[in-house]
Amino acid sequence: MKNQKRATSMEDPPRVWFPGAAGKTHLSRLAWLPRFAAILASLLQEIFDESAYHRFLERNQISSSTRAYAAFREENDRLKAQRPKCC
Amino acid sequence: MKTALRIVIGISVAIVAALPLGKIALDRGEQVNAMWLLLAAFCVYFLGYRFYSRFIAAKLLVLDAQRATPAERLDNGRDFVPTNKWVVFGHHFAAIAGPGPLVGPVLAAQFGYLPGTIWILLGAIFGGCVQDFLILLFSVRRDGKSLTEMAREEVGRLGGFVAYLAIISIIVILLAVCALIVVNALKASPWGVFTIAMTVPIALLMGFYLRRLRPGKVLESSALGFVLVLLAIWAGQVVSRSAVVSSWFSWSGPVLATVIIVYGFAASALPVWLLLAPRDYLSTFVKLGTIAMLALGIIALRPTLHMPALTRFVDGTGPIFAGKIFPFAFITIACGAISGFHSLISSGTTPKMIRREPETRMVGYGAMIAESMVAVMAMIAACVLQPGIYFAINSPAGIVGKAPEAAAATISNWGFPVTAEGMHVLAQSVGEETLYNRTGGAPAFAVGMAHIFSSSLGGQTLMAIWYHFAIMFEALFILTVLDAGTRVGRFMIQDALGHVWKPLGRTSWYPSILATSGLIVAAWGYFLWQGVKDPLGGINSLWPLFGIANQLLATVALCVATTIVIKMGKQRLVAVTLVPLLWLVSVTFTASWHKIFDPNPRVGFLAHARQLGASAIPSLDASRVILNDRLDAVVTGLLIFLVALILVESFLLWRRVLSGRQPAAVKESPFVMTRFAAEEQG
Repeated sequence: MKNQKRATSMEDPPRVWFPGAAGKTHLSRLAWLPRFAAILASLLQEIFDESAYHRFLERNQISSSTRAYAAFREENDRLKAQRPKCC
Repeated sequence: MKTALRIVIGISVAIVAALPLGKIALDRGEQVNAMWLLLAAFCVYFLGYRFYSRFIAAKLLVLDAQRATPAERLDNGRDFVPTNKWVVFGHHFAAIAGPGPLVGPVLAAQFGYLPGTIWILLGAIFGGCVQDFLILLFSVRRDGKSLTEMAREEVGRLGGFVAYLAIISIIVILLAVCALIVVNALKASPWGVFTIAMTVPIALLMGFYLRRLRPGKVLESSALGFVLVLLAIWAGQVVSRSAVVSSWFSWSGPVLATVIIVYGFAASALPVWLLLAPRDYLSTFVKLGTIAMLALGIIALRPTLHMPALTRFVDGTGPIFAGKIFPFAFITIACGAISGFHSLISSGTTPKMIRREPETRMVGYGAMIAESMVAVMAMIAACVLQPGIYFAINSPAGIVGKAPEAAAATISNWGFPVTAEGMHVLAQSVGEETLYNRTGGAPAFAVGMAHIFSSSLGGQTLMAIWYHFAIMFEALFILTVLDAGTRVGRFMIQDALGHVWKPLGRTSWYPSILATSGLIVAAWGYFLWQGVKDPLGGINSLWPLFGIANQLLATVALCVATTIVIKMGKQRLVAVTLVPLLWLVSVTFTASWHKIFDPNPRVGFLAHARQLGASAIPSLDASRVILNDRLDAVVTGLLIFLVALILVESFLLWRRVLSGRQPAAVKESPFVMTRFAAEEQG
């Protein structure tokens, strides 16, 4: 499990970054956009625990359901309850 | 060639930075555009990140890309998860960004925009960012250990104990002051109370959506919740216009304080996750969106700062809080410059997500820069207000008087013209009865933010909506800080009491849950009540106490960092942590001395108690305030004593290590080669 590649935020999209980095055509100048969108989506999924839920499903080899989500919440909330929020 | 180019770029940015810094620092009698502030901030941050953090990473910490992090070695898919650096950056930023960087700069604006801005920029670059970066890296090299554990292992048992007590104290004072900000923002505001009350059914609906309809789709449910909150803000306007319905939601300070205390206890002791978890998501959603909107609003509007660079209150006679620039400006702005609380996040969740060691630089140093930027925006939001309006909102009735005319006359006499009529019109435009004596910073920030938003979008017609949006945004995420903080405090007390009697340490044993929840809520509830009843608005005594506690925690964190740096054999570079440490020691110890012993009753707790004690007609209220003053003095003295202990313990340890009487051995996890490097090469 540890060495398997997960469908989570640890995956790095291709290394094309800022406008102009990929070449000179208009289309390739926008090549950073999909990567930016992918990272933004990963970020939101991580902050809002969607990635954590996917990892929970993978770890327990189960599919999403109301019961699975309730079990995830129970586990996750216990972890979150011990984390301070900054001032 | 590359090095030469870097030097040229660095020098160019330094020159570009010097221009706006000179402009904001030297302009007198002229109003300055907020863009100068932003430009100065961008350049300073660029220089700090590009050169100073790089220097620390390369020379002091020697970040090792080959070394496996705990996220990789201990990967369990739960809390240890190797994560993309941008995702960790955002996650860390979302965790450290709270009400502090919004409220502190608003309060410190009473000195003018200059002192606070310079402290935010320099404090962050040389203090806050360094602390967050180093504690994050040291925690990564120690399997994600917490600050308390690192203090115990690297400094000594006393260090661990002091760190623990400092954390508990700061949590108690933080929660009290946060609750007080909400009380002051919502008292006699049916619109605000209605909107916040509506977040309860909205959160329950989100919880139902998450559990029953679309399990796990948090983003969807948060977006839905956000739309419903916007509707609630609109409905709040309708409520505030109805004489009957608005009276149901028009609550006094003590009533609001009681409700918040009961809420805090329920959030800690009862299994109300269906309410709290969705509300937490909603709060984060609103927080991140609003900060982004505020940045865009400032850039779109490019507002002028009406507050002068320096006000007459640099002499220590400020109405919002008394005390001179040094040390009070530096404890008023903690988050945004340097916040000890960040060291808890940097040694909490974040180190368990770092994929490669070099990424700690961007996450630790970089996220603090982003937080500092939020503080600069808050300073701008406060300073775009006419100073007369700013002081009318933030000054307590005990200073300017209760009657609008008297308050306006007092403030105008200070040299900041304002009229009772003008304040009335402003209050009407934001849908409030009055804006006088709204201490705490949140309402002033909301008026500034509403001004920026309405000037960019919607004009005066949307001013009231934007104001209440800002109030809702602040109250919502302060309440999530409150419930999360109460639970964390409860866990810490249970952890400690478990050493005395085992069952008390069981987090699932209900008598223990009730007792420890009651203890932590009683502690912050007491300070909250004291603030609500204080004729000077509470902020005058509680915010400096919070600032002192927060900076003392930063002192503990920098003590731990300095100890590790010395043990690493990097004495030559110890100034990186020692200079901010010495600065904080001088600031916090001086501030504490003033807060306890200053002969001015508006500054010193004991002088205030003496003044009340000497009054001709002693009353029950006066004896209660005297008791509170003495308690505040004892709490401040105790905090300082504890931190003095850890300083002495650290200093003795440094001396032993430097003189060779003790081996310089750090307690890091053993080196393990990362597999990510091989994967990248392959």
